[in-house]
Amino acid sequence: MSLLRVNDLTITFGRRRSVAVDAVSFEMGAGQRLGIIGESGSGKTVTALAVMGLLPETARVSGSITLDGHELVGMPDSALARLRGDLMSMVFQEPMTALDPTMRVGRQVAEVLLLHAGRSGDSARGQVIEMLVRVGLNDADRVADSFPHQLSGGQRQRCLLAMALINSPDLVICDEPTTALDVTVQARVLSLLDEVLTAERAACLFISHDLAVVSQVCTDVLVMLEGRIVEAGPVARLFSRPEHPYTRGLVATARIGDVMPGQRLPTVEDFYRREAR
Amino acid sequence: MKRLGLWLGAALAGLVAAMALISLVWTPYDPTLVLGSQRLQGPSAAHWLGTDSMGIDVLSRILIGAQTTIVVGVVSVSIAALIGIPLGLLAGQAGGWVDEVVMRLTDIAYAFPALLLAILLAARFGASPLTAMTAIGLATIPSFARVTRAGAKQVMSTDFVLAARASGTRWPAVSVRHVLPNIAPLIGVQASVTFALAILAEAALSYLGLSTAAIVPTWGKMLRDAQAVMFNAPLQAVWPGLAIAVAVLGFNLLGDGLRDLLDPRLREVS
Repeated sequence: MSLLRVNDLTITFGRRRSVAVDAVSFEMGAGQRLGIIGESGSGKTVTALAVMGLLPETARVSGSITLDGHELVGMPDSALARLRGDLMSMVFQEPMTALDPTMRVGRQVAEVLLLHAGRSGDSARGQVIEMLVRVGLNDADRVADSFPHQLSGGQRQRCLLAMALINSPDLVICDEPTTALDVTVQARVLSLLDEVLTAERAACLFISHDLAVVSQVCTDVLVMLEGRIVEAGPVARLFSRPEHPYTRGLVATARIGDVMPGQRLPTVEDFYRREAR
Repeated sequence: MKRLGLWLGAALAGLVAAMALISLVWTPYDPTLVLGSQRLQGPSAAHWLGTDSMGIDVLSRILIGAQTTIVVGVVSVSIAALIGIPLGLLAGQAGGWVDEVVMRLTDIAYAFPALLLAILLAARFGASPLTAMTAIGLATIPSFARVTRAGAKQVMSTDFVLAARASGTRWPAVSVRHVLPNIAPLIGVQASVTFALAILAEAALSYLGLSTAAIVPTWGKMLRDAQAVMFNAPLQAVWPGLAIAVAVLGFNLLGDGLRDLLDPRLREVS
């Protein structure tokens, strides 16, 4: 049985009902790593927020999202809150703004345990420290007692990873978790994510605009364009035989190593002509 | 000097608080002791600020008056904060029709003159500091509700609230654990400014005879007494006037200073 099944998901915003996600369907098995790739505005983040039930009130959602047998579309927020952090969790894009500046980091990481595992503050502390060490923070004690502004971007993103993973969720949604980090930190955070996901046997829905990043973490990938899924398949197949012209453009731009010196770098527009809007 | 206003405000507000504390244990004379032979004296070694038309030591009355001022400020601000902040949080967090209803009620309360409310309460329950404080507190609920709502709206739209919700935190817990600590500076500034407003309002109410019983000296009532001898002894009006001005200025400066100190846009990035 699949863990997450999204069927005919359509999301519109506002009074004018502008369509952000248009009849999207996909499935994820337990422990599967699925990437969603697409440019800004292609609907990938909105799809992720819909699964978490965190869309703003102006959004209208139709279709169906089932997670582990629970139908999430139309579920009241209090019931969804029980699933968030327990069955599913999310890593956000901006480590600078995703941590509360007025709260010590350790408390924020522990919050999930206090809410779901019924743990008290003291007993959670040991587990928080252990998790912080697992995401590569060696001075975990000091980090747990720090406020977010005392930590670097990479440290904060690791804390967010710890927050999302500490309660062993079945599904972790990562929304461009490394976009705000510089390239060396990015590589380390990605390999850490890979390691912890494998250890926890958690499924991961990984959102990115960078095909190279997705190929490091995921086995399968969906390509989204203007609210629709235009191509889906294993990452290797996508690289070797991209079908949709937009995907061909993505693959070509991800392989700038193949470009002869002196030649113009490829752009997505060389392969895919956008219709004038 | 940096933050001159903040320090000056803190010093003036501290001075008023110190006067109130000192008067609890010591005043130069009994502030109700009538010295019939020494009416309307100017400042002297025996009476630093002179005596009033009844022959009571003015400094003693000013010191005792600081007590009322502080109590009025604290109680009024507490009433306004205890009702206004939860209302603002509710409106900011719920949105939709709840927000609409709370904010329109706030508008109505804002439009209702505070003085009229004080007169109504005094007429129904008798003129006392309690009715004055209640009137001032009720009248300043809307400003607390608005400030809280605006701050809450802003905090609710941040990534860290989204992250907290993604962890399964529900709305009431989000309000208490994430929204309140983040808008605490805003509320502190509002409390300080409201404190100054309450002092001024209480002075006005007791000047109008809508606050204190006859025996308890307050700065507003001293102004009222001074009015009768305005042209013979103008200093009688100067002392309580100066005390009110110092207190109001102090708490206003403190509020402004706190805002500058705590405003994240002005804070240096560490």
